[in-house]
Amino acid sequence: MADLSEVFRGYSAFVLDYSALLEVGDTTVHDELVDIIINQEKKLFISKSFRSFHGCVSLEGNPREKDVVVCTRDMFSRLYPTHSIRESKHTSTLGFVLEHANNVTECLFLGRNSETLERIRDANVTGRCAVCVFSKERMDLYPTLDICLSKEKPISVSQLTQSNDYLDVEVYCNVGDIVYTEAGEEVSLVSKISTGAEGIVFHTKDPKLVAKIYHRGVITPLRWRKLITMRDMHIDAVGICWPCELLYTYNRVPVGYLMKTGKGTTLGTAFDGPDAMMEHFPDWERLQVAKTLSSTLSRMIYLHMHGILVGDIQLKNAMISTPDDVYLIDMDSVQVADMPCPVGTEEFTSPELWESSFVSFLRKPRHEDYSISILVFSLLFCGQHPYAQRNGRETLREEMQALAFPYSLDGSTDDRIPLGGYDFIWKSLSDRLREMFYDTFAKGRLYESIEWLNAVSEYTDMLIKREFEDEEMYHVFPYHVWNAKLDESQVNSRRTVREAIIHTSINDEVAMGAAKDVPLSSMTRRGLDYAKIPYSNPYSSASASSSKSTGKSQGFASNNGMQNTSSGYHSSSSSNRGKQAERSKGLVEFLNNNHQTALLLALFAAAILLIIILSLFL
Amino acid sequence: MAKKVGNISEKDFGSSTKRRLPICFCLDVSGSMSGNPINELNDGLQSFFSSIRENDETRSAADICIVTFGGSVDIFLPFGKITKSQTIPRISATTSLTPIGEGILTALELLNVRKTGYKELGIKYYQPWLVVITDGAPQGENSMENMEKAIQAVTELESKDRLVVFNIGVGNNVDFSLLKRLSDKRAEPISIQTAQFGKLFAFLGSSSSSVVTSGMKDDALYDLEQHNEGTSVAMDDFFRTIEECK
Repeated sequence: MADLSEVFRGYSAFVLDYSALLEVGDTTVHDELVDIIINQEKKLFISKSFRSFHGCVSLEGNPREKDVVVCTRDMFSRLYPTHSIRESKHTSTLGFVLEHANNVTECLFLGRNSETLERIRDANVTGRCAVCVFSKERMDLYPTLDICLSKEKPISVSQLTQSNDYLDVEVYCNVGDIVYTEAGEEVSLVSKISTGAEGIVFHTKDPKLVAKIYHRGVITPLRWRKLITMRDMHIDAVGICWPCELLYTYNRVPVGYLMKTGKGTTLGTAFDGPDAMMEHFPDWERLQVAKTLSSTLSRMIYLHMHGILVGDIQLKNAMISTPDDVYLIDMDSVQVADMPCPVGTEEFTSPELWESSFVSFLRKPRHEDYSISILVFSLLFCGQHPYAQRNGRETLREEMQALAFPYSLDGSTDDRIPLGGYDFIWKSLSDRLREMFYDTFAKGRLYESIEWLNAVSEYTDMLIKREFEDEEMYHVFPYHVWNAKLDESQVNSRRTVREAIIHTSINDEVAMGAAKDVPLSSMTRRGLDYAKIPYSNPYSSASASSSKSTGKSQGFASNNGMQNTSSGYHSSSSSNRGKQAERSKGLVEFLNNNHQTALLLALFAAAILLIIILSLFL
Repeated sequence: MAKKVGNISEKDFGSSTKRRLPICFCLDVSGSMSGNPINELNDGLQSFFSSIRENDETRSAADICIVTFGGSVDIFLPFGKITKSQTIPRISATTSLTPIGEGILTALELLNVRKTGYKELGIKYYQPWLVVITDGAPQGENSMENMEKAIQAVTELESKDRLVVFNIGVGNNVDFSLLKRLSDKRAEPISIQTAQFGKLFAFLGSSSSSVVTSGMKDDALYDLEQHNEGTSVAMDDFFRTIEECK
């Protein structure tokens, strides 16, 4: 390389994106740049998220990036005493770049495969600052950002996506078989872990490694080239189950790949409502939920920094054993270089992509931002989707398109929040997270994944420092049944109450209307009284009327009404009769805690009263 | 066996946050199904259930109900969460007639009530599946009238994308022209022989898993031919294609 001190003499400041450090990490460029900054009294601008990015890299502990971590640390310890570092107020990468894009005396440092460059392109940023683009092999200095963008062309989607070919070789791999790495090392398929649509994952003799063997006909040229590219990227990260070796049969037929073993259960299994959370992590608090989210986000951001988009973000594509031990799995679907992520679900995908075939184009960072925002919400809300709501539109699709977010900053739409304690989770978050969610899901704004990570870290700190006054805010489900020691009878009464609420709210709208004027306190008391009174199932009449044409179904429908009565409240009551008083006490506690449910319960009680009064008259 | 219509309780819905896929099987258990056909049907159902049960995703997402018709219409299995250990009893055939229309109307009612429950609780859901399996034609009092009502109700829901219909005929005595009218989207009813029950249920199992885990679109469910739209190539060509694209 040329004499850098001469090359950069004309600039007053460097604007450093972390991606540049990843590229030059193990060279002497680091030191040279520091020398230049010190000797020529330049400034070094970094984003407010610089530390977070550094955290993501150091957390993954990739042996190949040890130098990056060490060099960056050295670099900053040399520069801090000189007061040459300026931290931006922007946490977003784009905000940081825009802040400097038109300063002609500054030079922006970027990595060639960076997400930052992709974001600049996608947002059509124009600018006159100089840009220096680094890759492992070379460094290109462009006099302006505009010229840089005209020379550094975006990659277009691989031609292989057009190919309909698939490798069709009769190969059956099963437990006990031996496959081979490229270098010819034997890998034994010891036992099956799971079978999926694409293939089977096996334990190998090395507990740290598992093998994915594809089903016949699944390996396409695109898939295999992607795996080759991925292996060569050496993403040897602590929490990312990246393909590290390709696997073949003895006669060199491609069959699958070897990857790091993920530990624990999938996020999708554990983050699936209060029961699943309690089953998997009974001793957790909100802090553990927030930490799990931080670990997951951090690993995804690490991939972004290497120009990789996860694409098919879903809770089932990550595993967890402890909040610090999160593993990204199913990595063979990610978007790498010019090879797209061919799969995805509606729930996690930006609506603008729904009609496209995922294999036909390359996703942009902003598409990933959307998926990340859904992920952040889903983890903080223990599996709940931001657009799941009560009495909403016919499909989730419509809700997502309409930005029909049931949570609001002023609590005015609380009745739309799904039952189960999610309204209290919303209230227990930090203001910043709530505002970001509201901006994202109600207003359609996008935040970068690093902004989410920063906001989650801030929330984590608040939890650690116990900054919330209300102790309930530390529970995984605040003001909700979360104590594993909770008396079983309390659980029963809760269930029954809710059941009752549902019946009431669907069918007895008139009665509910009448109940609205009753003061809350008296209603809750009546609600308690009503727990003792049997009620008839409103569905028996509803279903009978809707099935007039079918004499027989009318018969069983009314019959079934009785069934319901006995299988509903009364079964729990009879099994717990001795605990009646205790349960009532539990119910009172529950009501005190859960105002919204209390209100509904009260409405239900009033409705039943009305029915009874009516039936007395008849 | 408990008969239930519209029993909405949190217990039945579970606290899972997964997007639910309600599937109502509407099964013919009339006299003609007795013997081997009902055995094959049971085997198919059992393996369908175990495939749903063993998969973490489908276990909490798939919401299954079974209505049988043969003489009377019965709710053999009401909607409810599938647990890891749950098994379903085997269905037995009756000796009587085939009230298909009535069975379908009952199924629609159950699906509707289930959906109402989702909406009330704020559970997200996929549009329901109605799986009708018959080996004959409508029989019994008012059977044709009910069948017409069923056809009208089903096709109306289907046209609004509110229902995915699997109209399946078993054997050679099916009134296919009538069965075909149950779905406007499916070019022809799915026609199987008794021995193919296993395959049918495997298809239904993998399709439900594809919907739940990889976001397969409903339209794909009307295209039974899982055509592997590709060209099978041998090793040499395979590696050449990769090389050429580098």
